[in-house]
This record gives sequence, C-alpha cells and structure tokens, in this order.
Amino acid sequence: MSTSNGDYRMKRPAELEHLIQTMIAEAGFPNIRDVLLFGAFYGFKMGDRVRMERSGEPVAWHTLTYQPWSTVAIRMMAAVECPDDRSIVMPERTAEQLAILEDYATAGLESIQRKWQSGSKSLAQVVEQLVVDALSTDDAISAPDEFSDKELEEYLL
Amino acid sequence: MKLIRIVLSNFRQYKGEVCLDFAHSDDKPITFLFGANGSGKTTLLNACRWALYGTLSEDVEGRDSLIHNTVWSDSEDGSIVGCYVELTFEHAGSQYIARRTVETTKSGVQRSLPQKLTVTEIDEFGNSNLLIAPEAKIDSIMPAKLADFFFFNGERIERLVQPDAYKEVETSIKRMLGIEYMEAGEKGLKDVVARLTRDFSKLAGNDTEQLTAQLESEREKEEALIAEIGLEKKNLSAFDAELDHVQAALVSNEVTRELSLQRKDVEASVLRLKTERVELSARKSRRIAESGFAFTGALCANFGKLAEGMIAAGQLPHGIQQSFLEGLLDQGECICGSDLREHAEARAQVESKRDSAGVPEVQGTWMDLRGHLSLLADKRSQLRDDLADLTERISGAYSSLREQQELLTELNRKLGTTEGDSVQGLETRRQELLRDVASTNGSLGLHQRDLEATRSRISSISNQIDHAVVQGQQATLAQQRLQCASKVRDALQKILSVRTESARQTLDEKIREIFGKITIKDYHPVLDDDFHLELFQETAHGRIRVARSTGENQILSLSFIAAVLDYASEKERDSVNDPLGLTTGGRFPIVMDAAFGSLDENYQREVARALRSLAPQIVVMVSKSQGMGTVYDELENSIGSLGVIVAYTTNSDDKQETIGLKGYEYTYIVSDSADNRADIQEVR
Repeated sequence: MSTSNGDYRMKRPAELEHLIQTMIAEAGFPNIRDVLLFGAFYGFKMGDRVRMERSGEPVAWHTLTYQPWSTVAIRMMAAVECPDDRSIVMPERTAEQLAILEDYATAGLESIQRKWQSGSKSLAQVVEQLVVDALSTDDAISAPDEFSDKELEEYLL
Repeated sequence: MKLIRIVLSNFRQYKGEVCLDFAHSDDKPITFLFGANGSGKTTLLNACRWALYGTLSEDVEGRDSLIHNTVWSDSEDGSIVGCYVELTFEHAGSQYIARRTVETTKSGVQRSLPQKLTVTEIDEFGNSNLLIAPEAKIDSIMPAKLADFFFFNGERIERLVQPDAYKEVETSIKRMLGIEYMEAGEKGLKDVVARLTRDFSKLAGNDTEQLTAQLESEREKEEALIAEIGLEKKNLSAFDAELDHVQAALVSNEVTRELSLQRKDVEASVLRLKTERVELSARKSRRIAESGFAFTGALCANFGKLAEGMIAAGQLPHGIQQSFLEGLLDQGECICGSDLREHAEARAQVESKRDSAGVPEVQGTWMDLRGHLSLLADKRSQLRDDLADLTERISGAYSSLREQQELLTELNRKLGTTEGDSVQGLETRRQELLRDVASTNGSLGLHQRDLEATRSRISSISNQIDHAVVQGQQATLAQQRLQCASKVRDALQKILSVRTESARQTLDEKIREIFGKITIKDYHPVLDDDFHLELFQETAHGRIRVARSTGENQILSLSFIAAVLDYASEKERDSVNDPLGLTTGGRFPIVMDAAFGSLDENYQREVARALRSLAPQIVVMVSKSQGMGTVYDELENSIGSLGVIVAYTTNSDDKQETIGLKGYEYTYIVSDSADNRADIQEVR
C-alpha cells in the first residue's frame, strides 16, 4: 500500500515557536506554512542544515504546497542535496524530501532569529533585507554554492 | 403586530378613563397626535410599553407614581385605589387584549406597587380565551428586548449614535438573532473545556500538565487584553466625539472658520496618506512573506546544471534504459563486441551503468522539474519588479505625507496663535484630545497584535494537548472528552462569528439604503466591525468622517431603527427555519414621541416623507410647533387617526391655547384647571 501525499507532514522546530508566531504577528506572514518555506529556502541558500531538537505541531503536505512553486522547489532541493540519488525527486520519497526541508528550515529560522535578536531591526525589516539581498545577488551563473563544472563532470561520468 | 386601541385609566397624567383608537389600515396607517410639552405624549408612549412589559423608559421621572396624583391624594388612607392600561392589538389572525393593573390599599405615598397582567386572546372565530402565561405570549409576539427600538422618544433617540452606544446596538442585534443564548453557551463550554483540560492533564503526565499551565496563563492574558481593548475603543469613541464638537465650534467662529476648514482638509489628506502608506507597507510585507522562492536562484542554477549534464550524457530525456543494459548483460556481449560475461572487466562497468540508469518515471519527473525552472525565475523576476514598485510608491506617499504634515504644523501654529480666550481654550483642548487619540491608538494597536498572537499561541497549545500521545484507558477517555468539547466550542464560536458578521453586514447595507432615501446629502453611514454607527463623506481627499449635527444624528438613528425593523421582518420569515427557535422577528409598529424636535424644516420634510415607508403602522406624537406645517402636510394623506392630547393645568399663568385642524379649533392647553391631567380629543 503506498502512502498518499496527504499523509506527509512537515515537522516544525518547537524551540523556534516564538519566532514563528512573531513572524506571523509582526512580519506579515499569513501562515506557518509560509514561515517554514521562507526559513527552509533561506537556510538552503546559506548551506546550513540543523536537525531540530523537538518537533512542534506538523504542517500537512497539502497545506505546505498550497502554492505550486513550493512542490517544485522542495523536490529540486532534494535533487541538489543528493546528487547521486536521482530518484530522490520522486513523490514516493516525499518523506525524505521533507526531512531535508526540515533541517534547512531549522537552520534558516535559527539564523533569522540570531539576526533579529542581535540587531536593532524589527523582524519585518530583517526578512525584507534577506529577500532584497537574495534578489540582488540572484545570478544563476555566479551563485557561490553551485556545483563547479569539474564536480558535475565527475558525477556524470 | 398591529395596535388597535388603548385605554388608560388613572394612569399617571391620564385621569379617569381615556381611550384612543389607532389607525391601522394599509392605506392610512398613521396615528397623528398633537400635544403640548408635558401634556402626556411621553406617558402615552410609555403606557403602550407598560401594558406589554410592565416597565417605563429610563428617562421617565417618578417611576413609582403610576396612579394619577389627584386620584391618589383624594383617596382616603385604607381605601382601594388603582390604575390600568388596556392595549388591544392584532397578531397572526387573533386579537389580544392586554390589561395591566395596579391596585392597592392606600397608605402614605406611592411606592413600587404590585402589577397584574391579563391577556385575553380572541381568535379568528370569535372565541375568547384568557391566557395562562400572558408574559410569555407577549414576549413571543413582540420581544421585550426589541421594545426600545419600536417605542422610542425622539429626544433620546440620538443616544443610539452616541460613542458608547455601540455595545447597546450590538447587544440588541445579538438578542434579535438569539446570539446571546449562543454566547452564554460558548462561555459555559469554555469553562467545561478548561475543566476537562485540567482533568486530562492530571492523567496524561508532566508535559501535558506544563502545557495546561501555559494554556491557563494565556487564557488569562486573553481575557485581560479583551477588557483592555474594549475600554480603549470606548475611550477613542469619546475622544472622537469631543473632537467633533471642538472642530464644530472652531468652524462656527468667524475668526477661525477659514483656517479650521483648511486644516480639516489637510488632516483628511494626512490621514489618507498615512492609510495609504500603511496599506502599501502591509502589501509589501505580505509579498515578502510569501516569497520563499526568492532564495531559489542558486538552487535553480544547480538543478539546471544537473539536468543539463544528464541531457548531455544522454540520460535525459530517455537515456540508456535499464532494460537495454539488462539485455546486453544477459547476452554476455556488448554491441561494441566487449566481453560482458561473469568476471569480465567490462561487465562491472555496464552493471554500474545499469544501476544508475534512470527508469522512465524518474526521468519524467526530472524533465518536469526542469520545465519549471523558468516558472521560478519568472516569479523571482516578478517579485523584484513588484518590490521596486511598492518601494517607490511607499516613498512617494511618505514625501507627500511630509509636505502635508508641514502644512498642518503651519496651520496649527496659526490657529494656536489666534487671539481670543475661547479659541485658545478650544485649541488647547484639541491638542490634548489629539494626543489622547494618538496614544490610545498606539496602545490599542499593540494590544490587538498581542491578542492575535496570544490567540494563536492558545490554539497551538490546545492542539498540542488535544493530540498528546497518552497511555491508559482513563487518559484516552479524558482526551476524547476534551477533544469532543473543544470541537463543539470551536463550532459554536464559528457560528457566532458568522451570524454576527452577517447581521452587521445586512444592517449596514439597509442603513445606507434607508439613509439615502431620507436625505439627499452625499453622506454614507457605516455600521463598522465594532457596531459603531458612523457617517462619512466622500471628498477630494478620500472618505472622511462627518462631524454630525443633531439633525443628522436623528436621521442616522431613524435609519438604524428602520433597518432593524426591516431586518426583524425578514427574521420573522427566517425563524420558521430556525430549528433552535432562537431567532425572533416580526412586523412591528413604531410609536415615536418628539421625532422632529431638533430638525430644521428641510430635515423635517425629508424624515416625514420617509416615515411612511419605515414601518407598517406608525404612531407619531408631536407638539404644535414641531408638527404643524411641513410635517403634517407631508403626512396628511396617510393619517388614519388624528387627535389632540389636551393638557389641563392648574397653573393660571399658562396661556390657554387651541389648535386649528380640519377647519375647526380644538382645545390644546387648558389653564387654571381643577387639577393637572391629560385627555385625548379625537379629530374627525
């Protein structure tokens, strides 16, 4: 019997619950889903993975992927994270994709928390700055954490 | 419900037995009564109310003195003395005679006296029946909770639009909808859920106990915040109302009129720009918050390279199929002739290729993801453009705001240095009020955000408790009970919120429609989310709140009452489908005293014109000065019963007066009378 996507859930870090709620209350985030995706892709951009200590209430897959771009980006993230495992992108491996996403979300949110608590900016200003920086350095070719041609060659051959 | 007749016997000013037949035909449904100030108009209004519910309106003085003063004083101690009001009305095909009586053995002065109500029902076949539970019957026909809306004193009607009236308005509407019963149920369920949570946490163990303690503390915080927010809203309304008065005073002063009007315009402009800036900033925040994809530039680049590499290696879109390689291995020979038998050197290489070759489903997914790279790139590009646009617009609004604020400072300075004690006093008070408004708004915003965050935490903790993993039959049972009660409470909360909001929206639309019919002024009444009744005007600088005159307040209140009447009539139809029987409604008459008192002639005409369509039956009581001329002329064709409440006064200084109606002179005030009393003279 296969698992339907509806059964998958993304865990959220209980230790960052206050930050998550503040992002909703003060930084215009409509839902927990948006906070987690924001944190995860920011975490991935930084290249940090952190295993969460304790899980809070999980978010269902269909809620998490309400916007179509998120399913695509989550699967791509898994593909890039496990370059020697091509079937990692498959829907039946959603649980593994979510595990990767959870680690990056924890790392991304921890980083946001540090920036927020160590500076004088509001949380809304912190997240805005992250987006502005990401868009201004958004250059597909010169991205710092991309594979080198040599790495690709080694992998493919 | 239609009023047919009222008989008053020794009730307050009405000495002896006085009778009035109400007009109730469809083409002439208005009963129009003239009466001097103090003649007994308010008493007649209250007699209707007293007959039905045994209460007088709050503005009535000497509420215990129900029996006519002379009748009381002329009676000897120990003798039986009393009064009654008998109201006859029709409802749903039956006629009812409600008679409320006070009877006592006289001793000293009048005090609160025991009343007795009897209601006789005469059905459509003429059978009469004395009802066993008269109060319940009357309440089912015209609920006491709605009486304020249908028996009202025009001089006090404005209270409906006063700053602190919103709670009363909200409560009345909730009563009509039966929502107050649900609120009581919800409150009860909250207590039940709290108790079940405590029971469960004791059985479930430490973690849950900790969560329960957190939950209780958050709930206490929620209660405190709700109370705080309620108080702040009330204060804000009071500040706004006073600011309106100060502003009106400054505009009415010739010296400050021009500058005040200019400042009003600039203030509206500042408000609009501030709102615009806040809205744009919120839109920008929201856009940013939903843009996790903003960070996917490098991810897409890397994924793209992986996919391109696979294409270059021939692994995409179809690549070397596993089945093809399996065939070669089975044959033991490659197409190039290499030996692929067991232990051959090339066999290991082909086996490795077979293991890494894609199956069609995997390749399809890769191709599909690759096809979406442009979607993410487009989204990032669109986000970049949107943020640039929003940033520019926010900056534009900020610059304009700064200009307008400088202009406002200058106008404030000019007005602040205008000579004259009254101007200085008004300006000082205005500045104080503005500071109060700003600081209250600030703390209100903080508390509202805090409340939202608290509720979110409550929901999260409750969920954790509901879904905690427990062991043991008792704990499982306790958890199930808790989950069940929580679900019922949540459902009730949703129903409450939907019903309240739907009622507010319906009334809001009705008020606007009725107000628009009464007056041609370009004002828009709004019943806002907090049930505040406000009046707005569209200006070049956007929508601004109107500082209302008495006339506008009265029209606004009348529109509100008419909207409630209309709504009650709709609810009567709905109540048939209400399984709980909580909804009340019906078609009710309006009995109004002094409804035209503070209106100028134009407003009097507008209200009189609209009155005919406000309710199916109307009783209007006016003084000669209020009703003669415009009002009477407008309503004359719809008047089915015309009369005069004659005031008899012992005061010889009062002038004897008559009133000319339908070509005859009728007594209006009789001075130097043997006692103070009222009588009703019908005009035929």
